[in-house]
Order: sequence, then structure tokens, then C-alpha cells
Amino acid sequence: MITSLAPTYKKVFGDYWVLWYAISNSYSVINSDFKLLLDTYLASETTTVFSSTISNELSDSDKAQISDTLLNYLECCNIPYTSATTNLAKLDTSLRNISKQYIFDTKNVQIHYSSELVLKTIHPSIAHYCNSSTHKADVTFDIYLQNDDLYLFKDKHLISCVPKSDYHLIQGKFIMQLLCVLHNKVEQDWIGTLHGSTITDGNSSMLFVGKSGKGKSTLCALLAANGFDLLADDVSPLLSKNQHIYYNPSAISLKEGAFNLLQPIVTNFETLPIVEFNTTKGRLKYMPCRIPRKQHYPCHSIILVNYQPDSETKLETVSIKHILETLIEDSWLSPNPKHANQFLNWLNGVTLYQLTYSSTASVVTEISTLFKQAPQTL
Amino acid sequence: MKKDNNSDKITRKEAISKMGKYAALTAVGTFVILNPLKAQSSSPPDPGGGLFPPVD
Repeated sequence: MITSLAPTYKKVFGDYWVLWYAISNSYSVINSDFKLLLDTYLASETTTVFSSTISNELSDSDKAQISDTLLNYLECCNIPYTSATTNLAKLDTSLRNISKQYIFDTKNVQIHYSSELVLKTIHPSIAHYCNSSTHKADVTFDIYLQNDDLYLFKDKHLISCVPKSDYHLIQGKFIMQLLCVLHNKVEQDWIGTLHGSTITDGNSSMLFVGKSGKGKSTLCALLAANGFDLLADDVSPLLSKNQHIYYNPSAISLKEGAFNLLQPIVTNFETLPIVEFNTTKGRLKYMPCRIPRKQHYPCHSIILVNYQPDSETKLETVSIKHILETLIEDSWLSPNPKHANQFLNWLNGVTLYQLTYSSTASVVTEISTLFKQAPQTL
Repeated sequence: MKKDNNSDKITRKEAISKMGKYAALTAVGTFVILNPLKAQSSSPPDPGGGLFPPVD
């Protein structure tokens, strides 16, 4: 059979297998019965041999259907990966209409924006680092809008250019570049940027994942108001060298629906400015948090967050399928085979939970208990 | 060196021949394929929202 279509890596997680295909950088979650069929199919020299191996209870048309489905599955897993391309535009310095300076620990970062609207893509999440210093910048970014495209330059080199409606991609690229500057890394050092928020107790960390609106950031704001530290909001970077999650300096981005819940809990919440994204939708507040003691922590749990009004707080284990269906397609993961292998091994070492909550007090207690169960890393 | 693990082969052969019709036909429909993003991203805005909403 076409063994070149076989997965590059396979890892078992309880009742499921997770397969990774190098050519497409895709992850597949299958059960043990599917795995058995797939292994048999790949080990059979021809479809006739495969058909003769599987159950005699199956009719010839059933066998043909299974063969076709497996081949179709393998072809879907082997569509070649193409990385996002970028053009070769030159920096236009005439668009430096607003300039801001930010100081992150020892790094002085300057950003030039073309307008107030473009400034809103980046500035509110890092405004707490803004400083009127006139020291020479270590790194300079330019972000501007030209012909309905948004451009991001770092030290005059084009990093990304996307249609303005995809400004979340400029935000993602900017964060990646900023993380590289702050942690002295290059993009190739990271396994990925996981779509989720990470909290630390100063010993280890937990990654909270969930679809938009499920309460990840709200929960992190609650936990940050109760003595925990925010390691990363929305974009949690995982480093190859030690498989730790690193500090992302962005403030917690909170949607209007969370304002009433957080108002009585977060000190001076009412004084945080509201960022209007447009007149009908998207009023946000950005909540800066205390900087964690260390720049990176090992992660021992991934928690799928599900805020449900009036529900009991419930923490239960959940399958890898459930977690990956939420996590993978909203995360950037390096296509490098070494990184994919590390990612699978990392996943194998973390405990997976689903958290349903509405009560703020009981959820803080539940997470505190879980942190106490983590191995001591110091 | 080529390693031929016959015991594994027999186990798999036995297992696959014992897999019933219903189990085999059900199993082939249970896979998921997940593709990560090709570039870093922050959370996309809600439909119709965001800084640069589509013009009606």
C-alpha cells in the first residue's frame, strides 16, 4: 500500500490516538478501531490483501467502501502544507503619524502607527508599558494601513501584510515578534502559539482554552484578582527548548459581557478605559496584571473553560479529542517535525480537564486546589 | 537491521479479523483531521465586529 501516506508520528492518549502528518502539518484524532483498520490498510500490499484480512461478515461493497474511506482520509492528511506568503513591499516612513515608546524590562520598543484606528490594533493591550522615554529604541515597529492592507515592519523589514479585515493576523505576528524580542528568541525557537490564556501560581502554570465567548479571559481576570499571576492572555507561547509557556505582556482583553461580573471583584475596574471597536459591537477593556516572578513556567494542565450562568462549578477530566478540537485550529503550530514531536510529548504530560463554572468564589477554590496538586518545580 | 515483529502481526491480524461488521463500518467514520493556523493570530473579532467591519 502507499506507505508514503502514513503518519509521521503516532501517540496514544487513553482511548484515542493522535497522529501527525509532516507533509500537511495536520493532526488527526482517531479511536483504536480506526487505528487498527488504518495500520492494517497501510501494512497490506494491495487493497485485495486488505479486503481479505478484514472481517468476513463484511460484503465486498462494505470492504470497498472502507478501503475508499481510508484512502480518502490519507489523501486529506497529505495535502502539502504551504506557508503564508508575504510580498516584498518597502517601508513607507511617511506614514509615521503617531509614535509610541514602550519599555519592557530592559527592552525599549518604539512603534509608529499610521492612524488612531491602526493604533487601536496594538496599543491598548500594551498601553501599560507605554513610556514617554526618549531613549534610543532597541527595536522599531511600523504598523500602517495602505490601500486597505495592513503592514507590519520590524526594523524596516516587512514581517506581514494582510487585508485590513484580518487585523488579528497582524496582532498575532506582532505578538510573536515582541515575544522574540523580550525573550531573546527567534520564531523558529517556538513550538507554537496556543490559543488560550495561561495562569501561574509561581510554581507551575495552567492553560485555559475554549472557543470565543466561553469565559477564558474572564476567568483569568478573576484568578489574577485572587492572587494568581497572568502568564499570557489569548496567545500562550510554548518554547521548544524547555516546553515552558512564556510571559506574554499583553493585558487581559475583556468583552463587555464580563464587565458586571468583574466590576465588584477587580480593584479599580471602573477606571480601566473602554476601547470602542465600532459603534455597535466590540466594547473592550484591557486589564493589565502584575508581572509574574519568572518569565516562564512548565504547564501541568489544560482546562477547557465553559462559563454557564447559574451552573454548579464542575471540574472533570476530558478527552484529548475534545481538547484538540478546540485548541488546534485556533493555534499556530510549527510545521517542524521536531516541534510536532515535542508538542505531542508535551500534550502527553499534561492533565486535561473541562471546567464548567458560574460562581466566582468556588471556581477560585477549585483552581487553587488543582495548583496545589501540581509537582513542585523549584 | 530489518526487524520483523511476527507476534505483532499475528495480534493485529487476529484483532482485525475479529472486528465485526458494525464496528468496522462505524470506525471509518470517526476520524477528525485538524489543521493549525499557518500564521500566528490573536482571537479574530466577532462576525460583523472589529476595527474594520465590512461595508454594507
